[in-house]
Amino acid sequence: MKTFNQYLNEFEEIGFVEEVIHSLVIVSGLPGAFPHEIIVFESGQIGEVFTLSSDSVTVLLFSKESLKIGTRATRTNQTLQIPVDENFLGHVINPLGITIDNSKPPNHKDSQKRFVHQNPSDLHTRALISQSCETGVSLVDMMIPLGRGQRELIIGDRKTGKSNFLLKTVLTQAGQGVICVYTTIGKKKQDIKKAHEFFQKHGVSKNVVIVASNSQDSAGMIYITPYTAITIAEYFKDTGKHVLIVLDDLTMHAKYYREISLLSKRFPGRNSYPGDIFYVHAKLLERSGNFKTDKGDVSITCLSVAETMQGDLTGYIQTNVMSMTDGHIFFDSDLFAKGRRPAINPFLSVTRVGKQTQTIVRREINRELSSFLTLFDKMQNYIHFGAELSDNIKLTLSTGNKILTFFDQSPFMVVPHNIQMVLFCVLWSNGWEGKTNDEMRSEMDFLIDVYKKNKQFKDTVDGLVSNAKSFNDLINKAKLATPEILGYTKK
Amino acid sequence: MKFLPILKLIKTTDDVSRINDELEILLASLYRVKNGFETTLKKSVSMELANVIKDLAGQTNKDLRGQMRGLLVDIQKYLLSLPVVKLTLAFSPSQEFVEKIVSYIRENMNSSAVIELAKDSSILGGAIISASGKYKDISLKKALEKTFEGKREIISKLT
Repeated sequence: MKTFNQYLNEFEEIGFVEEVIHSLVIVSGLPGAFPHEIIVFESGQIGEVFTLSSDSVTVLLFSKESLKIGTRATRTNQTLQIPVDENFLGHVINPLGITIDNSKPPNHKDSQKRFVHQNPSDLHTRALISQSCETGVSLVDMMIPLGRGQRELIIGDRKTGKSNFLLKTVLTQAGQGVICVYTTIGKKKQDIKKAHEFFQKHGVSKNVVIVASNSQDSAGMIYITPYTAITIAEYFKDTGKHVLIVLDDLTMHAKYYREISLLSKRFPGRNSYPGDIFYVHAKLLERSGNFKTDKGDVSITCLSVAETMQGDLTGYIQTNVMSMTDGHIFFDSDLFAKGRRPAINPFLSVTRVGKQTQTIVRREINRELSSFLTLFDKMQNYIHFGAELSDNIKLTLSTGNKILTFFDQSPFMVVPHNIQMVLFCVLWSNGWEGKTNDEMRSEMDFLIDVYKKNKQFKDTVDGLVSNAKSFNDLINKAKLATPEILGYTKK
Repeated sequence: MKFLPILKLIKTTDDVSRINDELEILLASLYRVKNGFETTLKKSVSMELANVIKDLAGQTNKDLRGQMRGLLVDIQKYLLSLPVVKLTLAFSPSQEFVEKIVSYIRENMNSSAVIELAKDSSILGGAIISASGKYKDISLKKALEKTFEGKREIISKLT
């Protein structure tokens, strides 16, 4: 970036700071300014044009430090650009593309620059979502499957395990070579550091870039965070790589945008949010999807997060983002209180495009599971009456509890697709009959670990899944292989 | 047009500031019994301003304090609305020079402009002008920098 005097002499337009209102600065002059243009101040700070009026310009500052009245400002004739290249991988960067972790900053001398504010791609560049996006969480992969290029909303109350689920998903996808852009919007520095350390500890940070703005940053910086993240995601998509972008969280982003809009005296709408709050999020989420490129179909899968209050799914921002996404995964605080991990309510969760990416076998499992769990849920209400239970009902309840135990996963344990299916089939065919739920769980955890480390076992499991033509076929094969599979737990 | 006599008294933003201060003194004296408005107009403000206000007040019923107050506030608003041309020179200009510049600006740019003068000897000569958000550096310093930039190689060979 050039100096203030260089821009001043080049564009020959000047402005003077008249008023400072938190992160907004009213500047008189600058007659040629346009929306989102970068304005440079004499003191070195930069901001973006937020509002234009006949004799002044409202600038959204990116820095926390205040400006003095009378400070000179000049135009740059460009909107915000950030350097983008592969050197970002493994680092934590701020929304201006500057490294903020303790590592040596990467060299961006030869990197290309991209505009942060861009229009989403046209319809003719979009491709049908056909590949599945593995999260490593059995409940999601089997009942609420995701596809690459899908936009899924992760919604729930605070402290219900949403961030945990996202970290697991990033771990799974990064392990498969997908580039992950993990975005924290206005979070605590401690949470950002934990996420960074988590990725380093599990050896996936070479495929992950963290775009972070913390709660101490200015509202302007927090506002542009998700746009920077999607710009970086688009760069990697254009190099032919699949990308997963996580936006944690959009309700916080909406709150900061509301603050900025109210300070700039824009007319408040519902819940005091500005009228364009829908557009602010829609133009962001529409930049992800599955695209046709000269390198084949490449996707940007977007997992956006929205926080609810006491499980209320009908909130303004929550319903806005639900309508922009291809489904939502609901984290239920009641299930969390009961000890379920992850606390996902499969009956209130939706996936609109994930099922078309599943194989025939997985689709049949999905169907079978959904109808069984619905029956199980009804049965649980029935037993409250205290009537005597028949053997069938007892079997259903026992199987249901085993399935819930199967879906419970320890924090940061990732379960690959094939072992999920085989373990479920063993369970479904009463492979763990006579054992307690805890015993079953610990054997399952052990077998998952063996799958990841023992090539022979992995080949056996993968072979079972790839040769199965239907769910019943897989159950029969799994039944026959159960002694061999469970034999590994005794070794 | 109504406040044209006021404009004739003002050339620079210092003049605007001085007249504004005198208007504040008059506003404060409006509702005083001792040293009231008439006394203040005679003794505490400049003669030129006092004459202009008497002329303007001639069109107003000066016995009605509310109307007089309205007139003074209107003059203050008028002063604030005057467009400002900022001029940075390498020297402190004389009053005659300032009047020449102001009359040139009022004839060719804006008929009600006032100038804000600043001195910066580092520009060596010429001026830096900014008005209505536009900025122009026509100083000697910039001209020399441009010349040296273009002839960098020749100059480096000489040294």
